[in-house]
Amino acid sequence: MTWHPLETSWHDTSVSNCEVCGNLLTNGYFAIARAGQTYRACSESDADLLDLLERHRTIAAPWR
Amino acid sequence: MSISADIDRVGLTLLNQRLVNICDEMAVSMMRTAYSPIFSEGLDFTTLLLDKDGNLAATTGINPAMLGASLYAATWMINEVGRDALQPGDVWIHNDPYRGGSHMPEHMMIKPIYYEDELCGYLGTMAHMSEIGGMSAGSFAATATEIYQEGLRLPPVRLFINNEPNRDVWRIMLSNHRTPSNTWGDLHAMLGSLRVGERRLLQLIDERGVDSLAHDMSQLQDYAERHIREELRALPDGDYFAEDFFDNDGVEPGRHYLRLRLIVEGDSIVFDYSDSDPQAAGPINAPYVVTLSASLNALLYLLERRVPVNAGITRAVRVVAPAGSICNVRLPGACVGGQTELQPRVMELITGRIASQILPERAAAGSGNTSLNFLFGGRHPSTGEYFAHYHFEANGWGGRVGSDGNSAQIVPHAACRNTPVEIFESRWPWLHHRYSLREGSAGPGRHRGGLGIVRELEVESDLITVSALADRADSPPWGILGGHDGSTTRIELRKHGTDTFVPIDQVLDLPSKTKFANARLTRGDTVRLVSPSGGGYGDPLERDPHLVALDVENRVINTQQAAADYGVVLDVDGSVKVEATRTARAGGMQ
Repeated sequence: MTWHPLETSWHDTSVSNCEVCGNLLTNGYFAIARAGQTYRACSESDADLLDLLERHRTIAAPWR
Repeated sequence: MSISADIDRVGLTLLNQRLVNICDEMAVSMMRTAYSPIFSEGLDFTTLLLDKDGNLAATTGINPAMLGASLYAATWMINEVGRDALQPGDVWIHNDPYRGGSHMPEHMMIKPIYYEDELCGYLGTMAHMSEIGGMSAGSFAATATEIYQEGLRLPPVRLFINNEPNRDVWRIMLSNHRTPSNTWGDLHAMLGSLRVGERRLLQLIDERGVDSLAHDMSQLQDYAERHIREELRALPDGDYFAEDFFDNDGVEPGRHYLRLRLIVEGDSIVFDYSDSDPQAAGPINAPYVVTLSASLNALLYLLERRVPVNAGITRAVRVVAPAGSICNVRLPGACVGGQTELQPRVMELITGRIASQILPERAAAGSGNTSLNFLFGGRHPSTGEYFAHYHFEANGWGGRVGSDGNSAQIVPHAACRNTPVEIFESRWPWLHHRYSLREGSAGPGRHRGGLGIVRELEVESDLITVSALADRADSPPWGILGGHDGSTTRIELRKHGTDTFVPIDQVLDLPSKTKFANARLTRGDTVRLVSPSGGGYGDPLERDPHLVALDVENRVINTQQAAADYGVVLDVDGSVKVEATRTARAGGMQ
C-alpha cells in the first residue's frame, strides 16, 4: 500500500472520494491493489474494510 | 508544562463536562444574539471544540443532526488547506457539502486557538443560515437539480485575517443572500460565540496546562472508543438488512430506495449503504457526513450507556456510501434535503427496522420522518423590507417499549424547535387560524404513535412566495412488531374567496404533493400544513383498554377508532365495557 499526494492547483475546487468507503480524499490517498484493480482509499484500514466487505457480500441481501 | 498521568473515569467525566460546558456556553451566546429565528428559536446550530490535531474533542448536544459534519468538516478543511494556512487571528468559513458540510445553508466557522503563540486547538460553530440565495427564498428549493440552484457555495475561505474582516468575502456573501442584514447579524452571533469559547478554553488551559490538557483530551477520545467497543461486543455478530424509500425526489416521479447492510463483527460495526439507489435528480441526496451522522446518532440511541461524543466514537465504526449514490452525493447533485429528509430516514432504518431484529427492547416505530420544510419570502407590507424564513414543522414520533410516541416534535435526529406562532405573526405577514394536534392520526399499537399537527396560515400581504420540501405524502410512517402505520403528510390551500381546502398540487398544478418551489400566494390565501403521525409499536389489541379510554377522553382517537383499531368498547360515559371489549378482542384475534 502506498501513499500518493493529490496534485491539485489552487484554482481547482473539485473533490475526490475514497473508492472504498466514499469518504473525502483531502490531500492524498492510499493505493490498495485487489484482484487486478487499484482503489484510491482514504485510510490504511480500508484494505481490511475491503476484505471484510468482500467476505460479507457473499451473504445475499433480501432485495437481490 | 508537564504532562499529567492517566486520569481515572471520574476525572475524564469531569473533563468531558467541562469541555461540553464550553460548547454549551458558546451555544447560549449564539441563541441570545442571533438575528434569525432559525437560530434563536429553532436552535438549528451546534458548537464544537477540536484538539490541536483537528479531532473533535467535545460538542454541544443541541443539534445531533450536525454530528457527522462536526466530526469531519473541520478536520477535512485543515487537511485540505494545510495546517500552516491557519494563522492566529483567522476565522475560516465554509458550507461546501462535498467537503464535509451537511447542506449549503449550514455554515461552519473555524477559529484556531493559540496559547502563548502555540496552536492548542480549534473552536467551531455550525449554523443553518435562513437565506443564502439560490432559486427559492429560504434557499431550500425542492425542485433544484444542481447545487448551483441551492445558493452560494463557499469552499474553505477566510472570513477574518489577522483579526480583520476579509471584506471581499463578506461582500460576496452579503450580495448573494436575499436578507443580508440577517446574514450580518447571524454571522456576528457565530463570531461572538467563538470569542466566548476562546475565553473559556484559555481559562481551562491556564488551570491545567496546555500539554496536560492535550494529553487528557486524547485520553477522553480513547475512553469513548472503549465504551463503544464494549457495547458493540454485546451485540450478536451477523449481517442485518433494512430498506426504506422516498415517495419521489420532487423532480421526477418514482421511489428512491435506501438500503442498509449492517455488519456486526466483534467490537466493530460497518454500515454499508452500497445497495442504495444512485443519486436522484432532485435534492433528497445526502453528502457523506449526513449518512455518517444518521448512522452514529442511531447507534448512540441504541447503546445502553451515555458515551462522550468526540472523535473516539468513530474508530470502531465504518460507514460505506459510494460517491454518486443517494447516500453520498457527487458534484453537482442537489442535496439540500438530504440533511432534513434522508438523515432521519436512515436513522430510523436502524432504530426501527434493524433494532427490531437485534434489540427489540430498544426499537421504535417510524416517526413522521419528514422535517416538512416550509420556506417563504416576500416584502413586508409594513416596512417594505424583504423577508425570508426557513421553517420546519413538528410531527408525531413512533411508539416504543414502555411509551407512546411523542406528539408534535421535530424529527428525532435534530433536537430543534419549531417557530412559535408569536414569531410568525410579529415578524412576517401571516395570520394563524389554527395550530393544533392532529386528532385521530396516531398509528395504533400497544404503544401508539404520537400525533402530528395541523397549522393554518393566511397570507396578509400582496404576495408571498412559498416552497416546501416534505416526504411521507404517499407512504405512511410504519409500525413495527405488530403496530400499525401512522398518517401521511398533506399540504393544502384554500384560495381567497373559496370555502374549501384542496391539495396544493391540484390548485397550483404542481408535480408533487409536498415538494415544490416558488408557489405564489396572494392576500387571503390560506395554507394548511398537516404533518404526519408516528407508527405504532406492538399489537394494538394488547394496549391497556383504560389507556384507550383515556385517548378517547383526550381526543387522541374517537370512539369508532377505539373499537375498530383497539377492540375496545366504551360506554356512554367513556368507561371501558370490559366484557364487550374482551369479546371484541377475542374476535379480532381469531
